[in-house]
Amino acid sequence: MTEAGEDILDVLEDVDVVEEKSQKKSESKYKPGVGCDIGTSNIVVTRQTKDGTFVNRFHRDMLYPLDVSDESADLLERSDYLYVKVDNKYYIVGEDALKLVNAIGKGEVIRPMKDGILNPSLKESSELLFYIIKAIVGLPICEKESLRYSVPANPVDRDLDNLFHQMVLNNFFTKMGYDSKAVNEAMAICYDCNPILKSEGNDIPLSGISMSFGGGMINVALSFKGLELRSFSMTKSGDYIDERVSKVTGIAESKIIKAKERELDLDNVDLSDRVQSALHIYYDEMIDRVIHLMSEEFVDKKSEMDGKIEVVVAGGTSMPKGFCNRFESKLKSSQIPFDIYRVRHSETPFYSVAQGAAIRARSDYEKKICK
Amino acid sequence: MGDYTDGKSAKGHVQNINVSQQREMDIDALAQAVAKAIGKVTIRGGTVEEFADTFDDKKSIEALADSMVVQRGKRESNFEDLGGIKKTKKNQKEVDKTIDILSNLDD
Repeated sequence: MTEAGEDILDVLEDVDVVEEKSQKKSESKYKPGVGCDIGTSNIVVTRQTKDGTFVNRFHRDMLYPLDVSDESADLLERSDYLYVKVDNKYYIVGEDALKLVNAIGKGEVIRPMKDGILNPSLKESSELLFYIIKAIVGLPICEKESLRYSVPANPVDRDLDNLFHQMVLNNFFTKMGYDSKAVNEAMAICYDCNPILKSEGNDIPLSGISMSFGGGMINVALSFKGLELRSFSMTKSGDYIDERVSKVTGIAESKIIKAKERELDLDNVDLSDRVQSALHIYYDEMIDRVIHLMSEEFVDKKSEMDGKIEVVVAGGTSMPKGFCNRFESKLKSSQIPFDIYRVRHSETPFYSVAQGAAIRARSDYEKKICK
Repeated sequence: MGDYTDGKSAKGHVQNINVSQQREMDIDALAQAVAKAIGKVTIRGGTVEEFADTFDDKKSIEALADSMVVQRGKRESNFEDLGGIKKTKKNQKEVDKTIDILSNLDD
């Protein structure tokens, strides 16, 4: 049993331990530079090994509370569920939270994040979230190791400001000993997937539209040679679909999530299955809404690109089979003010944001050592 | 969460904040965070604290953000590190090219 109730500052002030552990990690295999995708549904942390492999550590961003009792203690002893105990409650964490709520068949999981930012109405779970992030990220492997954490752009369809969320995360990582900076979520996908602008016979790298379909939000960025020209987000993404489908079918959200992740094929929808059928309807509604809003935004801001642009797509909500084909055909017949060359799905849609953030963090580190 | 009756935050005046206890939250911790964040305050329904009236937007938000990451109370867990592992490979030349381009950009 690990006892870890100390204030983060107390833990981090034990510099000798930090340095010793950092040294060990550094000697083992990683290049300096960490990417963190602190998403509404999942947390993904990426480091790159010296042989170039990206090592992605992922964890479902969910908690399931259980009152401390003889029964719950017995359940936890007999199972291998991961948990944190706080006062008179056990909080089952991650994938185990989802497994347990499905097994028990009552209650709902707690989500420490909402609409891409810290859920302001849940104080206890926010503290637990930081406890969990710390266990996933680990200590820096060198002094002031560069770290980039993803943040959403402010949404065009809701009055929401991510500044406070960004500050909280920055404080947290700085206290852990990292040299931390934010990276726009969609731009992280640009760094990972490298969209191409085809102009006058040339392929211009890191230029085009990058999109992240996350649990809480859809993030969009237009870039040219790695420079962010415009970014914005939209709400009502994967979680909204789960919630709506749960409402219309009367089936718990945790079961809808399972069906969406394991069975949904948008190229081949089983219309006799009411969950699949509803998921298909709400996916179509989301795609139409996103294309409409982004077209409007680009037209409003008079965005232009000289040539044919590539659109790269990633994020957990983009993972059902057939999603990209559907998105591409609707986008090409829309009012978007660009000539679209193609829509490309990330080879690793679930890890793209964290991988792109890690690439950016590596470039920060290179810049530092070259100074 | 509570209703704010702002006494215009002028120096020498006191701001009153009523914190309702209708929701499940640590009122004391919240009160402390708000007190530290916005300066001289009187808090009803929680602890009463007075600080020098040095209201400053940036510093106040920073102080509030700081208070969010402090772990209060004792926690026990049955894990030391967390998360499943997935390893992926990318074309290293492409990655290096991207890093080169990004190294020449400002933050």
